Amino acid sequence: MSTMHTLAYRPFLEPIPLEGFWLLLLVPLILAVAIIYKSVKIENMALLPRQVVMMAAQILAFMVMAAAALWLVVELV
Amino acid sequence: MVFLFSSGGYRLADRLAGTAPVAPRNPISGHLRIMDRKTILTACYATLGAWLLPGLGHILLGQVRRGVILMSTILAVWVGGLLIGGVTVIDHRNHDNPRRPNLAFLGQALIAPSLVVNLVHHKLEAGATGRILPSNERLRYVPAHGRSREQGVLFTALAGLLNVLVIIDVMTITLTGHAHRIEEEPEAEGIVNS
Repeated sequence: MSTMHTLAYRPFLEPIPLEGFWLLLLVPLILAVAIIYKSVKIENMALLPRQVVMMAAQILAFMVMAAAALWLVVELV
Repeated sequence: MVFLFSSGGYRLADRLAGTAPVAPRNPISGHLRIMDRKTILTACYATLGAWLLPGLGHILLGQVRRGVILMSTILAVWVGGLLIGGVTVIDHRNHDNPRRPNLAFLGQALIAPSLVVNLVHHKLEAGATGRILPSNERLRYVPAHGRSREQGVLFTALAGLLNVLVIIDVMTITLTGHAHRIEEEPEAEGIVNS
């Protein structure tokens, strides 16, 4: 198993070991959801970047708040 | 099916009871709108295009900029999932309970190329000989496990589910005619007047 990681990564044939940074993948997912939702929803595409940033920030903020609330429940209750 | 999507303004129960109008109404203008063959065919082609390649439906309907944004975003998420977990994250079989469908695959299959990747995965699996490899030979592929598998499945399935929004939007545009959208940035007044 240790030999496998020293060999070159072959895209699509081997997984990437994510154990250390998998939570960071939340950011591209949030951005993708915001881009798709706003691209379908808004009438004027010129407003897209601003709307996407706002929506992504809102999702991220609420997820952080939910995580903090759940952490408090786990720690205090 | 088409009639239901185009009904917009009244309930299905009214239609079944015979109290609904014969032809559907345009939800924007309220005018009676009869589906012609060309509209239905356009809706079918655009919807099929959106399933084959996310965003292609919008491009076929003339909304090129919107289509390219949708296509690049959804494909980036989908390809990202495959890069994270490899082709083994797309599998139609449910290994925990073979009698039940793999729910993640139902989401992944909302993008047509997932079906091709599923075939590639099974071809790779069928080509595995099961023999012990000598130390100088590499495995043909490495199945994903743990976080890699979890995130790979999440990315590919989410891309498929996001494509549902795109497919529904394409159907709405073609069947209700609600396409008065601004594709390009408004030009400066001086340029327009000249």
